[in-house]
Amino acid sequence: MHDLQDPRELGLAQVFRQAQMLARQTSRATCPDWYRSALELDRQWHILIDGSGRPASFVHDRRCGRWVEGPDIGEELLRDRERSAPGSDERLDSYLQGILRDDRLGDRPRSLGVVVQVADEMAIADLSAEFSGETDFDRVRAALEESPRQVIADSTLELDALAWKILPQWGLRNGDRRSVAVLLSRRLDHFLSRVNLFGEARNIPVVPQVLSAPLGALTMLPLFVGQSSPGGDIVLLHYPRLTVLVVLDPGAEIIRLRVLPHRHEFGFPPGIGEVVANVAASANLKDPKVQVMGFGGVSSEGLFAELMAAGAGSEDFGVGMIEPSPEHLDRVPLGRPELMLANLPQLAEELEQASLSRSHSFQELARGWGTQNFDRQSGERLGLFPSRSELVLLKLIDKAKILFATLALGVSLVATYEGAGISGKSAKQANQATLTTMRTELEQLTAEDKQISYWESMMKPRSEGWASLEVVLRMIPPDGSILLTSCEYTATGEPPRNRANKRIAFQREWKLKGYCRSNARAALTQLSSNRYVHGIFDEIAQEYSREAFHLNEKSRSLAVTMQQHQGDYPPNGILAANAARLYNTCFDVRVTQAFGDKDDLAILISPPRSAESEGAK
Amino acid sequence: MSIYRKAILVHGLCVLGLAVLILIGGAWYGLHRVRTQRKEIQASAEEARRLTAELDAARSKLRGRREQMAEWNQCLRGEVAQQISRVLQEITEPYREDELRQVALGRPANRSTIAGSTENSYSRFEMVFEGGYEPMQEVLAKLETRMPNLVLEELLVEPTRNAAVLNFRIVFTCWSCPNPSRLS
Repeated sequence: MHDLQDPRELGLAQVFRQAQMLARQTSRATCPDWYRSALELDRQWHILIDGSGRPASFVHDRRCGRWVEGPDIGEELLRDRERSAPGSDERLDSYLQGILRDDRLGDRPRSLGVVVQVADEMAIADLSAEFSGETDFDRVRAALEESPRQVIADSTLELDALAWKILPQWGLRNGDRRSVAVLLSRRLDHFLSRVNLFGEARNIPVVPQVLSAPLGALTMLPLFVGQSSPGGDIVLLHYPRLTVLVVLDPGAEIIRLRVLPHRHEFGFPPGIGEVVANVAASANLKDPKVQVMGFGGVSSEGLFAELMAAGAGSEDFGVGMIEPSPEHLDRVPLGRPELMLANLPQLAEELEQASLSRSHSFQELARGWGTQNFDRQSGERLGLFPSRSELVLLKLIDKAKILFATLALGVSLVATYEGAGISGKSAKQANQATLTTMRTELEQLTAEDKQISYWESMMKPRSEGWASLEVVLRMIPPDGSILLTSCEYTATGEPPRNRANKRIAFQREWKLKGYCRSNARAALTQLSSNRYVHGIFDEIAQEYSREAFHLNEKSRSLAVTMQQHQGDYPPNGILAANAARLYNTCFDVRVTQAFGDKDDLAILISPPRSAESEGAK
Repeated sequence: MSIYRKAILVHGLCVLGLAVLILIGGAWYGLHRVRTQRKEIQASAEEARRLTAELDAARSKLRGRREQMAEWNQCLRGEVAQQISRVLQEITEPYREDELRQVALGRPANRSTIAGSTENSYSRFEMVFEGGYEPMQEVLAKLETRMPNLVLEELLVEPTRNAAVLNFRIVFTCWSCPNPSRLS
């Protein structure tokens, strides 16, 4: 048995834990029968208490449709704790166990409804002025559940000892008493509590329900009564201990309900005839039909006689008996029409088609007003438990937790897998140190490459003394036809054309001055020939691998110019006068070789930045 | 709202929701960090591969050139004037005075015609010889071989009163290192 505490006395965390315990340890979340009424369950134990003797006890299973006689329970089993006989609780447990295991009714059920129909007591109480004329009957019902003292007019009633339900009187269109309270005592609370505890201890829904038998009978009345009378009907539901008087208007709407207890020695209410006549008059029923329906084997002869004596059979009203048809009575044991409530859903269609069901009152009775549960104890007990939707929500949260845990595990695995490729912080640091070293080395090598490339360019033989002398040597024929008086060579760099240039162009120039013999004009002509000089440059380039003497049209040019005029070689002591006279042509030859700034031999403007420039010395 | 529903919402849904948010946040952060670190390491590895390739290429490029540079450093280091004077002395020594005689060695005052418009570091030297054409050519060849940083700027050859002797006036621009300590 669960150690259940009132959630109103617990903190939220405790309430949550209690709910978790109930969700995990009971079937309340998975079995909807915990939250159904007893009449909705397949197996039902019906107990009829009408005061005629021992309560009638029958068990029914809707799956197979059979009825069997139930345990023989006495009044002592239904008494409260103080007055119940010793061992009653254990006996009740064994009865309930037996009903669940009873294989005469087919397979073991998953739940059990215990329906107690009370027919030996009933009271009607008027509502307070605030609620008496209210037509929103659901509001009245809710108010009655919440604050009964405010709703029930009679303040002398001991409401703690009573169970109450609202019954609307739909036939009344205006005025007060649009609804009344129906009261039953709570004498069955201990019994109902034991039933609840039995089910909770075994985790099986055992749902009790207490019905007012007269209201249940009223609900089924359309099955037994053909049509309403044009003058209205007064229906007397005759039980061994009381008679319930129901006044129906010509439209079969309920306009009055009265409970008439019997005197002990009589089986009917005293002065019933007069009561009926007064009620008919007060209800303005001119020619009502009085119909009597007996229950529990009660003999209605006395009642009939009393009614006749009061004027039945007269022009005022007719009297008749309501006899359920054999077809209906065959469905239930001992012809107890009350037991037909066990299959109320199945009777719904038949009820709808009945003539009386055209009235709003009987439609509402069938909808649930006639089978209200007077079991306050179970309602209070149910408040200790979470609702099914709340338990389902808890179950979902539990599943979400599993999913969450799986997700967390998955994420951890993914993170571990992803992190597996990482060798750790120290390795990362080592990598960075290595990279830094590599970058530094690369920078050094790059700087060294730039420096070496710079010197490779600067060291290229672009202007050499010996090669320049070689040019002159090859240009002047050795036969003495040409005498040089001076040979001048200059190498000149050009200023850079724009700042973007990295190299400067330069040129080399040979200036040869001298004299030529008169018969050596051809030699002189040759000296001024571009082709001739070009050939000498090619020879030097190839013989000595001197790239500077290669002539390409892209970035280099070679120009030879000559000026000559008649003139004698001046006497200077070098040549004899007669020899000097032979050289009578003076010449000035210029050979200019230009290198563009795009040429390989063009001179770099500045050293690489790694070498700090100190400027020209 | 029933107390059970309230308790379930607070302790069930809200706490669960909070835990899920923390997990998602933590997971996102953790994965983000792991992936960032992984990317960094991958980037480091990629850079290491790239640097290795570049270093190989750079070393390969320098192979065989360092030796030449080391030779050039012989003439780029040290005081240039002393170097030229010493080299000239060595290479002219085999010649008789009537073959080739160094007359002068000095530094001309004006700016270099070939290097003056650049930012390169240089010196200028002027030397005067008297002698034969062939010996002069030989000496120049030897000098320029031992000092490849010399660039002929001017050369003037004129006869002297002695027909067999020529006067050679030579001006060299000599490239020098701007900062000898930075030579490799």
